[in-house]
Amino acid sequence: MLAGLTLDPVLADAAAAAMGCIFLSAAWVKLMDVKRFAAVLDNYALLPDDWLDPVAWLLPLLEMAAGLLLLFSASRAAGSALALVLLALVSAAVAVNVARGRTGFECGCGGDELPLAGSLLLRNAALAALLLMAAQRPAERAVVWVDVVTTVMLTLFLLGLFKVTNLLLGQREKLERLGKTP
Amino acid sequence: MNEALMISNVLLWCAVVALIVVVIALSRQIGILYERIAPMGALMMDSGPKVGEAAPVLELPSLQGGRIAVGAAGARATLLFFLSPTCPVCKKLLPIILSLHAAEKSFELVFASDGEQPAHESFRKKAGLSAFPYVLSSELGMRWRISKLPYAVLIDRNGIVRAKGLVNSREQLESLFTAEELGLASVQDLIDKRIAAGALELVKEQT
Repeated sequence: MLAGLTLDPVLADAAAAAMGCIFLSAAWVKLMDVKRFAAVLDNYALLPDDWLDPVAWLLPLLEMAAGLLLLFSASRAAGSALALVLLALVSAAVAVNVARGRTGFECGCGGDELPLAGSLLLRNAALAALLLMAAQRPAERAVVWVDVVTTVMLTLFLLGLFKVTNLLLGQREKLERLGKTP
Repeated sequence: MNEALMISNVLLWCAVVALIVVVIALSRQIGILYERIAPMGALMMDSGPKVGEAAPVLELPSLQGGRIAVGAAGARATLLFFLSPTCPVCKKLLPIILSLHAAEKSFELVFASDGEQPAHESFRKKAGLSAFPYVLSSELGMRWRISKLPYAVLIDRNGIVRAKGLVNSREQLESLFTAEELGLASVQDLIDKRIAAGALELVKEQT
């Protein structure tokens, strides 16, 4: 893109590794119980009944492909493109239901049980920013051992931050309910 | 100097990752706290009517038409199934329950939920539950202290609670019927009885 605005390889590597892990784990959770995921898709009220089962298989398989592609530097660009498309697709599904006023049911994001809410869109925007970082061609520079440490630690940090965000988003509804009680 | 900075940097990263682990643990604990101080009361799976006691009888209108006395004694046992149209596990379990009902024929099926009627009407038709009583009552959920779904209660023909619990799979659902056949409240109850029997034998051996 812009010359002079190249990303440091550490940042690009960590973003790609973290997003790869996030997509793989989300896919894994869905594939472990496809019937359940089909029921979640049904809650979105966007697909005809016949499509639920095929999409419940297809979506996690595509997620898995995106996650795997993101983990290897050669296929990273393709992986982040696929991941961005999938993220945009599910975010659109969330946005449609938020606009309809249908919120509160489980989002089926994979991993922790999160109620569907507008805040998911903010979270997904942050994930999209990480994917855009992963898609950039990083600056050429010599990578030393400290870079490896930084990349691994930054990846762990990003994964932890994602986990905390999900936990807190999952608790928001309970907090609001508690605030309303006299 | 350079080496000192590198070491300091690596140590700081270790500290940051350790801190995020601590924050995750704290968030989890906050989540547990929310459950404990929820307005419904403490989250206790064995609260509400106990196994072996008479079930509370509530006369409620059914979406099928007419009124139904939920929890009353009858010709056959009753499986009371608490669900919601947006609960994915409930939807997954429904075909299993219906096939179990078709195979056994030894119990009545009653579905219970609460909320707006139109959403439940369409859900009922779509899920093929039109042939069964379906009641909407928040009072029923309160009486049984339902805090998580899907929840199943097995009431025998005399109106006594035989087994109940949160069900997430076919195995857990079937365990309710097994518990009823054995006259046990739960697996925990079975273990308790085994321990008691073992202790009794020990006493006999010694005397």
